[in-house]
Amino acid sequence: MRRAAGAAVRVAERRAAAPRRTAALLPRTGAWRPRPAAVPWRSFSATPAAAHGNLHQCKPGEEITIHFVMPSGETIAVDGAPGDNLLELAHANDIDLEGACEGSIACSTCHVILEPEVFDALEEPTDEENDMLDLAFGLTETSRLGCQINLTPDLQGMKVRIPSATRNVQSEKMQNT
Amino acid sequence: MTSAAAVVTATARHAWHPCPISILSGISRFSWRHPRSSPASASTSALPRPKALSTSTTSIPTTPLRHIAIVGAGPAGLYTATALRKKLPDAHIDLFEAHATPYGLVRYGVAPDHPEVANVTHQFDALVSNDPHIRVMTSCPVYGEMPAGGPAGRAGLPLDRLQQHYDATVLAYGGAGADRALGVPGEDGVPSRILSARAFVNWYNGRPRDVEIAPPALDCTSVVIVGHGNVALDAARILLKAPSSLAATDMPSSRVAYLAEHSRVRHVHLVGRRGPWQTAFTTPSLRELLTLMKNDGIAFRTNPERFWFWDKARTPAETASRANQRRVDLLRKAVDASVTTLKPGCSVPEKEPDRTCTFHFGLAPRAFTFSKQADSDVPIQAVFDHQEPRPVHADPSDPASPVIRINVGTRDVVGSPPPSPDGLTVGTTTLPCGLVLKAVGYRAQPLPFTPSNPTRAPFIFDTRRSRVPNAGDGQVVRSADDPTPVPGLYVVGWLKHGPVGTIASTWRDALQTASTILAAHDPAAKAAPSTGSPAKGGWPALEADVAQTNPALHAQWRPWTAWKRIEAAELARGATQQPAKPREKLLSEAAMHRVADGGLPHDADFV
Repeated sequence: MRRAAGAAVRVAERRAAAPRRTAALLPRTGAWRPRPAAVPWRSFSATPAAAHGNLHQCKPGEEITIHFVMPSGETIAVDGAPGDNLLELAHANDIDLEGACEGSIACSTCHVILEPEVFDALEEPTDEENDMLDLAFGLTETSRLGCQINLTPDLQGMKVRIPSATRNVQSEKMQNT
Repeated sequence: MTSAAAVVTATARHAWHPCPISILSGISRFSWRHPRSSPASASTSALPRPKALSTSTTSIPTTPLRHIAIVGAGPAGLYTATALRKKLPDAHIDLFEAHATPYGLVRYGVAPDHPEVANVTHQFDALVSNDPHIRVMTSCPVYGEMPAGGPAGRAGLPLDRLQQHYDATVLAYGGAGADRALGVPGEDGVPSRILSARAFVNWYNGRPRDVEIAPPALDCTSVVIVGHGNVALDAARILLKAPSSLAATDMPSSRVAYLAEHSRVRHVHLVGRRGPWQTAFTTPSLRELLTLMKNDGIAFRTNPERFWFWDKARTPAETASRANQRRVDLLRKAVDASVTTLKPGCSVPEKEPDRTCTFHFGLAPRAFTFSKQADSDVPIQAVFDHQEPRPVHADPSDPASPVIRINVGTRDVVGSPPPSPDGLTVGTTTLPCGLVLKAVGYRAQPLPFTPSNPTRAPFIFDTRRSRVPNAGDGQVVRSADDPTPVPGLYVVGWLKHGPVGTIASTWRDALQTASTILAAHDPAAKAAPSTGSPAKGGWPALEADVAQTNPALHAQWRPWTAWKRIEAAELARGATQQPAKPREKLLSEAAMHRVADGGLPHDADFV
């Protein structure tokens, strides 16, 4: 599969497909609500995009391009709008980033690794986010929870690495998880 | 399967082992259309093979992978189904759940004041509800074998039937079937006053019981919780919280009402055998409890000398962990703050706080004695031995060498406690209380009716480590001492690595077991040519088999739509409550079965 080379093409494809996705998005609610019995499409991400709220709309030219670096090394470029968070953006674009608690800082599954300069430029993570990062596998100095990174124009072109979730599972000490 | 085939499978597994992630990440990007609507996506989803394997034709897996059975529809089973579905758009994945409801500990383990954690059920619901190739059968316990003469109570499905009809069977029934015992006198003396935290969690989460037992005795002011894990903190939080703050959660209304009417609990003691570095709770849980205490005016108590003494008892590995550092720092701050408020020389006499939560370190349970005085508020005397940390150095002859481990010494039940080298307190501490919750860990169990004769079982349950013996990657092996793989049998979740970990670790564990399964099978194969065995029939064959040989089970198990009726009834009931609840759980299996079959819930079903 061609990835990094064809990024621009795929972004264009995604834009073309975007209205269909957003039409299926449900408004975000705190309470559980039953899903529609029949959904006309099926997402391959583990968490349905519908559970992650609306992506923001923005004017043409204001898109912020984010490069997701997958565990396999391939890079996928996607466009978001100011205000989107990385978890929502990943799910809307079918990028395999788990989000078990749907962005409520109650799990560490949307752990991503940022570039040092981007990490330093962002506000410090809250205590609650750091508590959850403690439980993330493969924690690095520049780790964050994807659901807590909101897109701003400053983040234009940033790289977001999604760490491998399965490497060395059995050698990891399971305590404190 | 013959032993030759088993060897091929095992070779393949080990050959693939160094790069399991490549199997999962190889096709990390999919079309978001329905997989079966696009022939192209099906062809690109074929399992990519590492190049190294192409040189060795003997190690290419040839066993098919069209029908997969998963025992247990909790997070481990459902995450495994999710991971397998991503790679195998055409495979049929059937989950068999013993309870009438899915989601396992997400429904009956996660504390009701943690609704965010339960958000994970949304994706599981979407997975099962939208995918005709994923089936969940509830009220279908899986047994080790069919008990002679049939089971006295519920019908069940023997494990060998699944192995007979499915290419792969995954054990995912969880590690919380039983509790670890303390092993001290008196712990089984008074069931309503000395009980496992698991029983308390089941009670406040409204888990249906086979046998009705009395609600926990909360007619006392002091409760002792043995254990320094997240379950202990959950129990402490539920006991200390204002019941009104739980009204809008999915805790059953009858339980909230019981807490409001009957609970006199004011003081909670959290007792751990070792020190702050060895606590097993996580920082989020600790922070949540400390925040609750601050907001509700619950005083933090500890013996600061013992805390600081035990604070020094740490290994380099423990201090190297960022999680440990931040957790202990949080505890230190709480201890510092509590010491400041108790500073000697303060002229204002300290007012005894109305409610307290005390962290005890270095106390090992010795015995529980029960006084029969009916009017006593503290009928239980919980006696603990003081533990002294003993550093074990890398070089035992050199006290300056790094500490590699902390020994707590053996409990001396009959004799006097060992003398303390530095003159710190030795001896025992007695905590008078009215309720003891034992929260020292869960224990996985074998499937019900597992054959006692090991030659009849595909594997021998590892009772010492309380898990299904496995190669570390999810492949079930014969026993803890015999690493021969059991072809087609896998394990995932707490049953695989022990009952420790969060949703996140279970998710990762499921990815690992899924990659092990994918590596050992060839999804394109129709049958196993190496053995000449016919293709497995999957669900249609199993259902025909059960209809013929096990009519009781055929009448008992229910499809996913049955659970959806239960859920709809619970959501509807929850919406009518004041205040509205996210759901009001049905509290008996009988009521669940009635609602699942289209009946109406009664008021009594929720009490």
